[in-house]
Amino acid sequence: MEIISIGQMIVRIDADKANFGILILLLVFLLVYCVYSIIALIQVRILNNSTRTKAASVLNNLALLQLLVGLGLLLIVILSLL
Amino acid sequence: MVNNPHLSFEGEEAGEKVLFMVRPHVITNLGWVLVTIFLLVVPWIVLIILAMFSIDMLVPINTFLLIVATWSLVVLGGAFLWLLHWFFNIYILTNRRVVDIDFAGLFRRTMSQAPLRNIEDVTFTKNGLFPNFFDYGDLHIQTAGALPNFEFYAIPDPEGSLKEILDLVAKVKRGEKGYGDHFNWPDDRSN
Repeated sequence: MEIISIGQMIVRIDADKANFGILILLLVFLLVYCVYSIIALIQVRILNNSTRTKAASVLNNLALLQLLVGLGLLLIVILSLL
Repeated sequence: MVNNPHLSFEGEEAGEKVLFMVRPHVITNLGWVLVTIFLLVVPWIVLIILAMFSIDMLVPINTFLLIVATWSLVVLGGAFLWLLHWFFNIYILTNRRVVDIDFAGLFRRTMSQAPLRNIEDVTFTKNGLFPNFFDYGDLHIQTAGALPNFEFYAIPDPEGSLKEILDLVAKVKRGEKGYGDHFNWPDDRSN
């Protein structure tokens, strides 16, 4: 008799399909997030120009880091799907 | 309170000098910092609970880690927005006017201003344990006519700001050189 988990018994989802579905969801989500990060980066640059303060470069770097991490995760998800 | 005469902002007029710039008190960030930490810890708590009760996760551990990383990224992205909200909500006092810059989101920013000569009344309130302990509160500036009234929330040392503003208003009303609509700043030889 095949041993199936409690989760599978409840929702009756095939593990491979669930994994694929989640990865697709992550892919879509990260694509949206990367677009948001690019907009955030541009906006931070505009805002920094409107009020010129010392901490401006830190915020720019944080926005850039956010975008880079998002892109890195997106790459990992794409590689996992292949 | 940032006291920096070299500070500048969008819409600054020729001959205008920034006297000080105020952001909400740093301690007001405590709420979203704690929420962020909690949300970052949640997936690991879920993982521990799943492991403790030997519940199958349905997905491989690699996918779970990817979900956690994405979740953390989103939480940190939200925290970044809160940071921007705090950083770009600025109250500026110049030798001519009071400027309030409000950042309400990535696509929404408002800037309102009132000349110092239009300021009629300034009051401050410090309500609660935290504001009294960390010395921050709200500053209310009432202006004459149809100009908007200003509410500066959770600014550090509201009493000091109140004194500074009243002092400036008095200088403007006395017609001191360099304040109000006068273009010449006392130590500015270029004008």
